[in-house]
Amino acid sequence: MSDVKLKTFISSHSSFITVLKVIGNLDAGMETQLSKGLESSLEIGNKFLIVDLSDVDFISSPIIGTLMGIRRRLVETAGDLYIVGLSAENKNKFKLMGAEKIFFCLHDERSAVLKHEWEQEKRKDSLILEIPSRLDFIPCVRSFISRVGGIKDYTKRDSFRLETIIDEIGNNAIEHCDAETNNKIDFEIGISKEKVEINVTDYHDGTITKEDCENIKKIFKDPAKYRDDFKRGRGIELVKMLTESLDVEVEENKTTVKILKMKEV
Amino acid sequence: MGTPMNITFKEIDNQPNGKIIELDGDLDATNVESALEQITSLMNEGVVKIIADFTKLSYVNSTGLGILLHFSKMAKEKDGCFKITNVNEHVYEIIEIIGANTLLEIYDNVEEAAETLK
Repeated sequence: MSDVKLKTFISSHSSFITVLKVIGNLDAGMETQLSKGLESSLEIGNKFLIVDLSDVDFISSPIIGTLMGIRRRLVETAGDLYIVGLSAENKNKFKLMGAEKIFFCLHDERSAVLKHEWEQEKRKDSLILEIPSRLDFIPCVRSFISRVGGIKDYTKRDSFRLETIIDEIGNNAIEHCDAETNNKIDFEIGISKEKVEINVTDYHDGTITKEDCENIKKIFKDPAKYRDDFKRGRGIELVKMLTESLDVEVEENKTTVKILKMKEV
Repeated sequence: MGTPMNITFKEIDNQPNGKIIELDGDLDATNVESALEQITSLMNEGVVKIIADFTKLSYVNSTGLGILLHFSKMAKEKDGCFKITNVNEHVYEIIEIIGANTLLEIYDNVEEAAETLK
């Protein structure tokens, strides 16, 4: 049986997470040693544990069973066990045993902490994009945001809806901005486990009247009433149907459309 | 430069004034004018029974939907029709939200739509 070293410490990225680093091979028959190591890691009191297997070349099937057992216990107390640093061979072993569907297997400790924060809904990732006020930039932006939705576990349908929202509001901003005064559109997107907040700002020359402001607000309040012809004018209406809230803030030199979209459950 | 979208035209058996149009890509604000031009020109040449095959159409926005409604209206005015087929579920949702599913003739596939022309 090979010699295995187990080191327990608090994650340098989060004091709420304990890390158990394993060095050496985890052969069959080493379940008791690993269990003891895991138990002593849990004695620290954190409900979240990262098992770092980046210095492990071989993992036997019973060891994966031991990890599953500990994870089950943690999940029952609203905790979790993340696996990091799996080699290609070990990743394949997890896959063959169906364990990759049970554990979050991540690249390294930092990725696991980020995943943990995301899962605990504490984290909101933000994106700020500034594009020239040209229609041909919108497809890249909408496609990018849709992919971000996919990466963040939003369904394909929700990602498609995000793509539509970005497209419609982006096109609308370009249509109504004053390209000569300020040739840009700003996108500010905050995405969390539960929702996406989108702010899209276009700029104008500062001569917008109070009446113009009121008219813009009226259009956003009841877009169907202000559809301009058979071919056009359904974009805002569509976005309104796809989102939880759609508001507009009109200032002297800029208009910001604010959108809240909840994640599909 | 717009989003790439190719339109190809195919004959329909025994329908001299009919054509299948295959749309490949995304139909959005960057290419809607080109689609409008090509299909309007086809209709003005007398091809007024049109079956649009959406198998390879992955995205449509409100402007794209607007011209589909325009084609449908234009075809009817010329005693023809504009039928849509093979719509993917995400695109269909957008069509439905806008309420265009009650205005457009939508079929599961090209064969089913062609059958209605006989």
